[in-house]
Amino acid sequence: MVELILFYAFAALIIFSAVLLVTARNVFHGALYLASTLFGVAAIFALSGSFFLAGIQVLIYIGAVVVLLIFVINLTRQIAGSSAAQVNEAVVPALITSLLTITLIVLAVLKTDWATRIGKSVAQTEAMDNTAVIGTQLLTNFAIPFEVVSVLLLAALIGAIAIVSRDKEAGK
Amino acid sequence: MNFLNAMPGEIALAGIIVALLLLDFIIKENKAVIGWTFTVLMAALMVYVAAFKTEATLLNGAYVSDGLSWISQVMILLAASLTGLLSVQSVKTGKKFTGAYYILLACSTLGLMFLVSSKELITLYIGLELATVSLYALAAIYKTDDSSTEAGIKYLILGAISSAILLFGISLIYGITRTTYIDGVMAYTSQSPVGPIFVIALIMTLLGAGFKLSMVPMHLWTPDVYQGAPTPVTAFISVASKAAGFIFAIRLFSYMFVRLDYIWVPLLSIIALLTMTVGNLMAIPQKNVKRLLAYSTISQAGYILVGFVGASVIGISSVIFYLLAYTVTNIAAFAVVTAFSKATGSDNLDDYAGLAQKEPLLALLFMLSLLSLAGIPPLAGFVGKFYLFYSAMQKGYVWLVVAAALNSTISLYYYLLILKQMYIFDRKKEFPKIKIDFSVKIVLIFTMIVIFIMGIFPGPVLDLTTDIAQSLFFK
Repeated sequence: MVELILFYAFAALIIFSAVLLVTARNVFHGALYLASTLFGVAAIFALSGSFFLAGIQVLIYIGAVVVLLIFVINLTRQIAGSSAAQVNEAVVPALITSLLTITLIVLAVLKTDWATRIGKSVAQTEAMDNTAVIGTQLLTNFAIPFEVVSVLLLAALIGAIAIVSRDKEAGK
Repeated sequence: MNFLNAMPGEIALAGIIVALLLLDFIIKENKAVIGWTFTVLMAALMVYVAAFKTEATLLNGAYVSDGLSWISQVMILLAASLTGLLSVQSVKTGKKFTGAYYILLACSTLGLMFLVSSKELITLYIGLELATVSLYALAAIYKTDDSSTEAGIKYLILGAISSAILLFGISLIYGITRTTYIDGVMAYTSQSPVGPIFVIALIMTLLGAGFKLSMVPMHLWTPDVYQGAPTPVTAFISVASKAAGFIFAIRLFSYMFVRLDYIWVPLLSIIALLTMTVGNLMAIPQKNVKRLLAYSTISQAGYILVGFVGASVIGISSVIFYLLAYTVTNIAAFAVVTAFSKATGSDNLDDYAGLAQKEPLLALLFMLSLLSLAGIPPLAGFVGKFYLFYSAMQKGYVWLVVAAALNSTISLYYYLLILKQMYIFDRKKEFPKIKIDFSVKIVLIFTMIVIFIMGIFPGPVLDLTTDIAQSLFFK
């Protein structure tokens, strides 16, 4: 029962801060709402027994990504204090489309019998240590994506440097 | 199973990326060496992969080397080496970033190679991301050029949204079937009835994959990115990335969701019709050659989708055949655009006026590649289109084939507009004599030979693609 109440509380936190995130006029506030959204997600992970994922979510997303974002905002001139409108003329069609999509997904989710499906997999994994399972899976069945992700990070790094860094020769 | 035996191409390419990194560090002055190294290594790897076909299954079926992955890897490496040839003498990134350009191109190629061989949704997704993230950076590599920056940002934002949709779809599929293996999902769909949530998941994966194919309604990024990105990168996006996207779609739809074809075939037939029609109608008023070719590739994606609607084995076979034909043809068209814009600094259609008087050879090559895109015999595009439409006829989609044939006629109109500029109009501006670089010459000669061979003697290639399509279903 307590778990259920906590789940709904954190779900409400996620939705609430996600809405504020996209509507916030100040970029800095937006970054803080992002942190609270990600914290809610971490809490949901913890509630469903994935403590490793919850820890990673806090460490990487809140600890690294959001902090980095706040640094970038503070180091960039003019955007920390300014407030920009977050809506444009397409807001009404966008709202209609999102509402229709949400309705469709919610209706479909309600029609699906999740209890038996999820019950089965929880019963299977509860006997094992969640973190150990993740580790084993990453190095056996998911070894290829695990390795390819490192190339992905390399490519992202090179790409970011190539785009951002200044070309002295071009200026001459 | 030994990894080195099962995936030699991928491991070699990962080694090539490291070698290029070191080379960029060592060579300070003559950076063109990196481009040539990239091109030669890609071509060598292509020959190796083509010659030594491996059959293997790794990690309980998460990763396979089968006929489909073999031919698509050859296609991707071919596109990569041709893109390298187009880039060597025409991409001006400045000395500092030449290395980054080819390394990113190699990373993207590696991602595409993983994408075409995976049979597990997470591996597929990671391969897709590796390929696309490198392309975001490549599209924006001309930092001082506003349209290149715009291309990068548009590609990044729309790409991120479409990956989010794809990921949502994949996680729904995992939630329902409790497996991410394509074979597992296929087994699930043949045993249990699927609910509405599964249909939503299917549509989401279709949209996510559709971004790569520039399928309507996920096509909006195409014209801006094609126009802004450096021309060789545009060629790579339009050919390699799109071909891999179609292989991804074959694995997902023609294989994983094959039992659900009563859901996606009608849907895809309507999308195919929309994609062809939107691409063709929007192409007509374009004044920029790269933009026009962008809309033309959208409509080409529509024709290829017709093959998905068609009967399974012959449909897949026709899709692979058309992808081969389309790869060489589109690279040829972009090679001409590269040569022209390097000499004149312009991509404007009006500036092509009178090209035939001054550069008869270049105009002739452009004409041949455009006619092949339009599907005029005896060029490769004709056989490809014929076969695609034939496969849809087999399944009784007469209305779609009629619409596709009408669309081909519309497309002929704007291809002929370019020809009219080149052959009938007089020059308006004087441009310097266009010198076709040695590297671009190789591309043009090679692609023209393939276009004619595939157009006149399609038999052996068709046998090959049919074998591959059959081996997908009947082991």
